Amino acid sequence: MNSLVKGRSGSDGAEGPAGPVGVRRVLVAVVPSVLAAAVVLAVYLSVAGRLPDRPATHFGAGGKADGFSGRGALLGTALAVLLGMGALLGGLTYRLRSTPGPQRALAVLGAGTAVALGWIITAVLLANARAEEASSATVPGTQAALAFGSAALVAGACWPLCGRDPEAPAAASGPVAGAARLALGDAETAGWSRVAGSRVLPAVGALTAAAGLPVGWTAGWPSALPLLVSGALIALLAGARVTADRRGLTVTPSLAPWPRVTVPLERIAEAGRRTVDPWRDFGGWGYRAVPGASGIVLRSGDAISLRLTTGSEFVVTVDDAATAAALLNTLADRARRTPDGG
Amino acid sequence: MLFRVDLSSPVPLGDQIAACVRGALADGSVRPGERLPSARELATSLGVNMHTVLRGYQRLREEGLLELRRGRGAVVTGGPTAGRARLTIGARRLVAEARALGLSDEEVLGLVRTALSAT
Repeated sequence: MNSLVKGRSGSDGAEGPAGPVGVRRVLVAVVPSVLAAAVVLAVYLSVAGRLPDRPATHFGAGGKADGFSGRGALLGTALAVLLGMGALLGGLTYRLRSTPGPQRALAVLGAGTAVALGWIITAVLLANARAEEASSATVPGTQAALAFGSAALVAGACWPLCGRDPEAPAAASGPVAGAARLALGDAETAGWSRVAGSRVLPAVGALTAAAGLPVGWTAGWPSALPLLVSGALIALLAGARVTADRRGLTVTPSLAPWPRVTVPLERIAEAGRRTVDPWRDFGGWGYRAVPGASGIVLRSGDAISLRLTTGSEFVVTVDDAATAAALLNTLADRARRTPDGG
Repeated sequence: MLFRVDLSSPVPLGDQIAACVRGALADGSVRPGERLPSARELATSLGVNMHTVLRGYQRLREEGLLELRRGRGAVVTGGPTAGRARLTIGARRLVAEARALGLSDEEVLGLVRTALSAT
């Protein structure tokens, strides 16, 4: 816990991947889940004597109980979900250490989700303990609102706890002399922009949404909503606009202004191009992170590859990557000559 | 595609942006149906005024190379756009050369009419 207090002033090269900020963020992602699991366990033990044999675990319209399961199963599932989620998000937060922005969002998301889940499970336990029998247990909708409200509060409180994004080492050297450059006059300014598509993801999105249709017809439209919404989201996020300019490298969905991933010029040590095989290099499509590298991988083939000042790699699959990389090298040189950027 | 503008050049910035797009169309690095960045995006990207970009895009629309759709941004016109872009570049070169020789607009049009009637 020492590192929590010490902040990022440590003398051990605080910018390192597992530096204090990284540890702090992993803790932000993990600790709330562990605490929520502890609270759930404590509440369970204190009300265990009053719980029905098969407590209500699902509540339908109006908060009325309509699903039941064994006591042990309820506790086991609750603890497994909370601790499993903590471990998963902690691991993901650690792996995202080369991209501080998304890492912070993920850690905070983990904290908020743990609070919401913990709240709801506790509310369910208390409702069962209060009720005469399981079938009369009710969890009013206000509990869900409270759960999400407190999750939002905790997430908001955890945001600053994540610490400032690690800054690039001051002595970061720019691109080597041999790296490709784009000849640019002093009075010239340039920007590169291109839409990077995926052939796989729109199909996945369309199939997911299409799977929602029969579900909607047979089981009612509310139950098809998750499929339809996630299908639409996948299709929406399948295309990305990649921009290389004086602000650095920016990737946004081509059909929406956010989420936005930006790598500022100061964090780019060198830009190049490479060929990416989504399965072999990143284990799939989308926003990927593997040890030492992360990136937005929407297809195989040509990709911009940035060597960051942290030493890790950031990859975006897009056509004509060589031009973008050359421009980024030129602009990175320029940003290092004039520290305020060009 | 690469947009580059030279702030020290006497050519208006909007025309420089239009020329970038024309060139990219002509050499095939931008294809029909492709979406260009919105005027707002491109303006922040280059650090120029949005209306400057819009002037450039407007010029391309007049040349039939670009379709401007409200909310959807700028889309390269379908069809033989690369050829049309090359033709537009040729026409501009013709005009530039004629101006350099001191020809009047009427003389340039006469020149083109003569060429048209000869085929």
